[in-house]
Amino acid sequence: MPSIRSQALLDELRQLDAQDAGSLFRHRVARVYRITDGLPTIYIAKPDEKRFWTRSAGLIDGDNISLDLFRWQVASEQAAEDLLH
Amino acid sequence: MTGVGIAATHRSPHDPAFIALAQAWMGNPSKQFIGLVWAGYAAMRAALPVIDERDLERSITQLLEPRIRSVMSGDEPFYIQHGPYERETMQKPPAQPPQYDLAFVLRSDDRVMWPIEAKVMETPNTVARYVKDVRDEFLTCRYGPFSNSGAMLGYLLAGDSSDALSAIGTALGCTLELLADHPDARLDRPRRFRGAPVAR
Repeated sequence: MPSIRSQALLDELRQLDAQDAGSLFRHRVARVYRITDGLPTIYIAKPDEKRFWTRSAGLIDGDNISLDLFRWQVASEQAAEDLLH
Repeated sequence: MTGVGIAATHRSPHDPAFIALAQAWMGNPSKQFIGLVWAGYAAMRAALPVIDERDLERSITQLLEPRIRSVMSGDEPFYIQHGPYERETMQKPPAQPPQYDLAFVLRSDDRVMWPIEAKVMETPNTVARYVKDVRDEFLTCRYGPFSNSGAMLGYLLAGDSSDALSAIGTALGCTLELLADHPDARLDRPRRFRGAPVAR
């Protein structure tokens, strides 16, 4: 198994893992949603294999992110509505 | 992705601050959908197809769908569909589920649809069927149970669209807000929150 050679990349992944209760390295594919420098940022961590980084795979990632955001938005609005009643 | 199951994917728990910022950053997705509908309509006007006047509403809508698709890049996380059924709010069989004239459907979860209901209006004052659908279908969440918005599409056969929109606003008892990019489109303000069920 090749190791990550970029120290900067490794540090960033460790930081994300720490923020996410140590879940990042236990999964082959991970999507992490964070605010970075005031911007909503999505980190997609996948194995360094070509099949994970094709155009089709990227479009599927986009579809899944879209669904995540949609569900959270609806849940947030529902929670806000519940507070009013 | 071959060999990678859903269970192998981790998704970080949602952060309310992230969601609020992402929503502000993304803006109103309804505007994107409406923009695509108008672009599809423009494409249809540029090369008018043959419309069957015996079944005007369905004929126009059926012809509009491929033209909306033609102005999409194909990379969107959604697709356009003519006549999809909404099974989430259907009554027990043998009742048929509600059927949308058009809907933008989320690729990741086909149950999630942004519905568009079309109505022919012979004149600016014949808005009763249009208004009925807003009240009885959208505001009750029978249409778009997984979406917090949707659209009505009015096919006005004669008269001024501004008059029709005024009549609709009056009948609904609300102010319709102009969408700057689409002067013939209106947004229902204040926004009506229906308490749409959370997507499962």
